[in-house]
Amino acid sequence: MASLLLNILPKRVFDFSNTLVGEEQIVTLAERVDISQYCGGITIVRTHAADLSGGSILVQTVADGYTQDDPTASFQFASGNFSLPVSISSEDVSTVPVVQASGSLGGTGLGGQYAAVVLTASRTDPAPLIATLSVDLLLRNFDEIDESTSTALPKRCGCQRRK
Amino acid sequence: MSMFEHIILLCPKRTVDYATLPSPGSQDVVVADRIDVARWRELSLVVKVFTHSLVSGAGTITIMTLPQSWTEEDPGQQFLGASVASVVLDSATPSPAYVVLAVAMSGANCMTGMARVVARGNRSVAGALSATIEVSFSAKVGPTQTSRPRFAG
Repeated sequence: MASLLLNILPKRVFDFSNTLVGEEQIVTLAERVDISQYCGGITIVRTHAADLSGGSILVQTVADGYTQDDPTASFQFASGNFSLPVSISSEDVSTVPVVQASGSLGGTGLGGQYAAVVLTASRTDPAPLIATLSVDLLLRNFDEIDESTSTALPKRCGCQRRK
Repeated sequence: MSMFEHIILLCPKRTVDYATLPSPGSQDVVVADRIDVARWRELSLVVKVFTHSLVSGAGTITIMTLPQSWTEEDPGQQFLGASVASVVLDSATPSPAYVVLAVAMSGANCMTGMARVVARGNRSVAGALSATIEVSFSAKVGPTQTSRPRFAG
């Protein structure tokens, strides 16, 4: 059994105060994370601080169908069995700091070659919607693999392998 | 195909006694902290109860498994999640007792790569409230292909 803990998002403040009420704002935290060597994954979200009175935030790992034939196109698909979203709202996060995790159903389900981690903010109230977050992606393989040859580090973000 | 199991001893035989706990009230005792569970596919909380005094009806003792995380960006903060597996010992618990409970390793609100185990005493009325317990994780990889096809030549 091999596992790899990737820091997808270093500690960062997200302020959605300028998002219109009733609107959503989507932020891609990482894309082209090579998951081809792993069978299962868990999205781990740490909430360092938050004022969620103005809405809610979802963090989800989705399938990323990047292709060199059309590198600028975004082929992302959030299937139900890939990874359930981590919900950050005043109901889910009553105290901070807190950690939440969500994994692929049945311990498997990381299909495809690439994954992306997407944050979606939904503004439902004029009140503030601010959160300080950091995100890890825990990847598991049921066979031993040589982590030194793993290419799971995302191509387009400053992700770091953690121990 | 093969199956591997590993027993992670979290707390050797030990007595947790909440005799001085006011009524009503609760108190947490951290029995294990920062346990690395990242590599396991299946995890079970194993609680062995050697003896307890809960027949007095004074309250309950809950053994909880909490998801945990740590980051060097905020090293002083304790990131804990809601319990993903809880064993409740009460007046109906036999003595001795053996309880095995699966820990959610996938799906919503599952375990992270690190775990904390807490023994929480909840007192409702006066009386003896103690238990002698041993706590461990049973970790399993699950069916694993240990060899890959080899091609002649």
